[in-house]
Amino acid sequence: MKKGVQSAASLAPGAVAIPDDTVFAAAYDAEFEAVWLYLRRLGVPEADVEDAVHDVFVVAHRRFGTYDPARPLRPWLLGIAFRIAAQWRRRHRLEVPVAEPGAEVSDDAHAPDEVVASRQASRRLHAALARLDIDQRAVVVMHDLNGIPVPEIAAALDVPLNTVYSRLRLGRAKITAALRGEP
Amino acid sequence: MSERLPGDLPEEWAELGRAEASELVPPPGAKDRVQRRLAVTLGLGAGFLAATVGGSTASAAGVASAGAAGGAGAAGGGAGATATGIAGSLLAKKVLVMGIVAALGAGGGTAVYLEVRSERARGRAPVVTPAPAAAPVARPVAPPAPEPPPAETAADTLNEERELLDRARQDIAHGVLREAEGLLERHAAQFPSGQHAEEREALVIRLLVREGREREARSRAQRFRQLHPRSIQLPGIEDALRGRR
Repeated sequence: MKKGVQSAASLAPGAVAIPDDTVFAAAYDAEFEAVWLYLRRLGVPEADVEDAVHDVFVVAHRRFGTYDPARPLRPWLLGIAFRIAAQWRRRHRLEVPVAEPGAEVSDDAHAPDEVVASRQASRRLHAALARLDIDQRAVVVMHDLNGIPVPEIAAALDVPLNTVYSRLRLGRAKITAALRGEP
Repeated sequence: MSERLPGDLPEEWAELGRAEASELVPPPGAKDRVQRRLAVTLGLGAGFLAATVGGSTASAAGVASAGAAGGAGAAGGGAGATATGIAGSLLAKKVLVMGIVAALGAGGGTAVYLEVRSERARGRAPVVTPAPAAAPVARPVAPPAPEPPPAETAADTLNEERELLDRARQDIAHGVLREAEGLLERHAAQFPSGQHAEEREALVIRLLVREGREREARSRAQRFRQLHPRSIQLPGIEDALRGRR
């Protein structure tokens, strides 16, 4: 712990400071699952997602001073997660593609009906998401799965509002086509 | 939502999202593993690792946040009532710990703490039979105090709490709701004012949603909002109520 550092509560937006350990622990505790899920939805495979989550929170810690406490924390963290996921994809673009989340071989024959249904839904959803490029996917997941409003997405990704709307429109069209079985 | 939305998604999208979120959950222990790595990478101390709320003040936080569970049946004392108003708030965590210390030092918390200590002291004191007035006064020799059982460390307790809640979360995600309920009840019984009491209540609300007990879920969520208006668990609770998690 960096003793003597002011707490986040007293920070003016844009101020640079290292978060108090307890503040950061609370953020980690509350947002770990959301970050993990977002990275998986952006296509980071299970084998790599712990590394990616680690990287997200390392960046978050180092850039904590850029977080505006007046805004919700989750979109800010997911914005970082998007950049980490994009880096991961760039690093691995020449590798053989890994299976999408939910596409892992699983023993459906012996699983309860509800579990089988969830697995199948997961596969369908990720097959649809796989048609989107990473920019569209980041927006669609944030908006249509995390329920984050467009203005917050624009701030988190640092892109204009209309860019978010455009990516959302294009992404949704591709998902609709995928779910309807269209090529 | 009042914003203009480009295009519509098929109706099944929301249902797919709910089912997918249930299926795609972090494996047990992932959260702890990453947390330990973060502590090393960032050089974070016990305040980050040993406690979600307050490191070495974990026990104090536990006392003062009695009642934070919101439905766990734990009654908050004076210090707890003050502390729980802000418990769980991301930006108020440090204030919480400071508030706990202040409350324990100034109010009913102190009395409770001292009472516990004096009870312990009484428990260890030898029973001294009054000597006859004329008899020489023999200084009672206290027998050696029995060795206290090895104290469970804060980290052990935290790990145990986490394990229960991680398992409950997995069970909720996989629809094993009765198991999840049992685990959450166990957590409430073992750690009524534990460091993860707020998280437990958030899971209880999620469980109620999954069980279709929406009215109860909303009622508890309402109470949670009142108790913890700035809690970092609130977005997750709202997601659960909207059926997004």
